[in-house]
Amino acid sequence: MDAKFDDLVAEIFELEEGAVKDDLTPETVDLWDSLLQLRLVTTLEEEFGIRLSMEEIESIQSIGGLREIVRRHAGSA
Amino acid sequence: MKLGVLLRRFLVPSPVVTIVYLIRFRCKVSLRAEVDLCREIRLGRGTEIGPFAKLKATVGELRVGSHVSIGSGCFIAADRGGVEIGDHCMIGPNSCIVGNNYRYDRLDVPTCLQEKTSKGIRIGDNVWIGAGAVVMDGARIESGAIVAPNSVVAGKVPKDAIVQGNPARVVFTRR
Repeated sequence: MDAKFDDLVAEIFELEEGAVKDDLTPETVDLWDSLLQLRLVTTLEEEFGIRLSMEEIESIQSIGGLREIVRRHAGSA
Repeated sequence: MKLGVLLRRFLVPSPVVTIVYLIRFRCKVSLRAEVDLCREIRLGRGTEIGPFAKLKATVGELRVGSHVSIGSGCFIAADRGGVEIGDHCMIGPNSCIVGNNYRYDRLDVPTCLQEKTSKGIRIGDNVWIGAGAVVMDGARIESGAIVAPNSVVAGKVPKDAIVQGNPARVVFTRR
């Protein structure tokens, strides 16, 4: 799951291969804005067959946090 | 263009237009907005039109719902197909909603002289259109949708969708 997750994050935020780290935040990623975050969530939901709540989406502060949320949903799917 | 519309557009002072719309529809048209004084334009109660916005309707109906906010510098033009905007919509500054198009299938005739077409534009309730967005003829934006700033909408936007880009694509569905 992690490799696919990293690929999708890199693709959406236009990051280089291997640059996706858990400590990336909206402050450290140039392209990370509210709309691109929503697009990332939609892409992850489609790829992993999951659905996040609005509270979870609003709570995303870092790539690590998002990875945890996706892992939790994917694990229970 | 009808002579009456032409005369009203150029000869009626803007305070008169503002007062007429206030009395007729209970809506607030900025003194610096340019709204045609004609039967084709129907504005809902509580709707506000910002300064430098321009609303035109000569042959088709321009129907705006109640409590709609139209930002400064917006250009909204209705043609034969009409333009409908639902209740509680927000139209950001400098947005364009143009309900007509030109045919361009003849190379020997300048485009501006070719036939005009108008499928009309339908915008549902509670739609938020970001600043600088362009809504083209034939667009259908369903209720609850959000159009990101500077997007170009030419087709259908599903209910509660958030769209972005040119052409506008769904990036998220509100939940």
